[in-house]
Amino acid sequence: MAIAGIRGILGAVTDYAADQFRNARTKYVPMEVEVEKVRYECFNHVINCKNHENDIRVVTKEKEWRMVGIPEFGGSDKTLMDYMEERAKEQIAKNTASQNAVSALEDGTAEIVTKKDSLLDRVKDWWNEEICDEDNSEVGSDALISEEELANTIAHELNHARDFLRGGEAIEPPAYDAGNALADFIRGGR
Amino acid sequence: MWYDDSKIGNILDCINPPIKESFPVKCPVCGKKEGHLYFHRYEKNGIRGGIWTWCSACKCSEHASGWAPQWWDNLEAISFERLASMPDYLEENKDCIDEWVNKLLFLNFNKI
Repeated sequence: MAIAGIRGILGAVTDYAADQFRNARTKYVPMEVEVEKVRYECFNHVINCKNHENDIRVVTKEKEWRMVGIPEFGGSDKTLMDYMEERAKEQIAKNTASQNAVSALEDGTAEIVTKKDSLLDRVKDWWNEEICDEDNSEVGSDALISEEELANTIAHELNHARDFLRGGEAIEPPAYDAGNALADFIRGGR
Repeated sequence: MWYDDSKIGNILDCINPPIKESFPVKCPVCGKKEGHLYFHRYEKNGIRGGIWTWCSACKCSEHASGWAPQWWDNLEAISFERLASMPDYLEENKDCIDEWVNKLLFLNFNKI
């Protein structure tokens, strides 16, 4: 079984707890409970007393059977270890995405192309990184401002490109994760 | 099916001041008033994000990722998990996206 890192462990615990609470339900069971009962007695209690002035508050504790609601956590079949394994797999997938991107740069399958008069140049004051469609990935000059930025950009685009090649829709979240993972790798975070 | 034409990126000119047009804007490829734009900031207060420009009429689109403009706020109705390079999901939500972009432009440039 894969082992999650410390962030993975914390994430797994959080996921597990959230799942337990999300699926929690209240189960009612008969239970003997102690009930506080209050009555008032006349201070000068006499037969047929009609005043009941200066009442005394008398509290007694009695036991009786009641239906009591007990929170029942869970409802999901997943154990904490299942969550740990999921997190670990996720981390491994991210690391693999980083390694793939590095390999692609090293073996030349990733290429940096800069084009003039492209969308990137027109809006370069605030937008100049990369464009992706099914055939091309363009990298703008602002993506080259740092190794971290470039790594993030290329890993993001490679993820899209690979997804297109697999016939996927190139959805954003995994590409974003891949970019962050490689940027983190460059920063020395993993 | 979406087609690539780099001219669709000219839609971005519509959000550079002075703002002259509201969304949907005239498509730079086919000329129909069906041009849309959407940014999505990846993290709240983060600078990185994705951008999509597309035309509902001629089906040209372009997607990029980079730095989102400072004035941009994500539209809550749009789920990050469903965003992809091709703007099918955005096309389904184009009406509220246009309304949102117009609102942001009005609030930030006050000229629509």
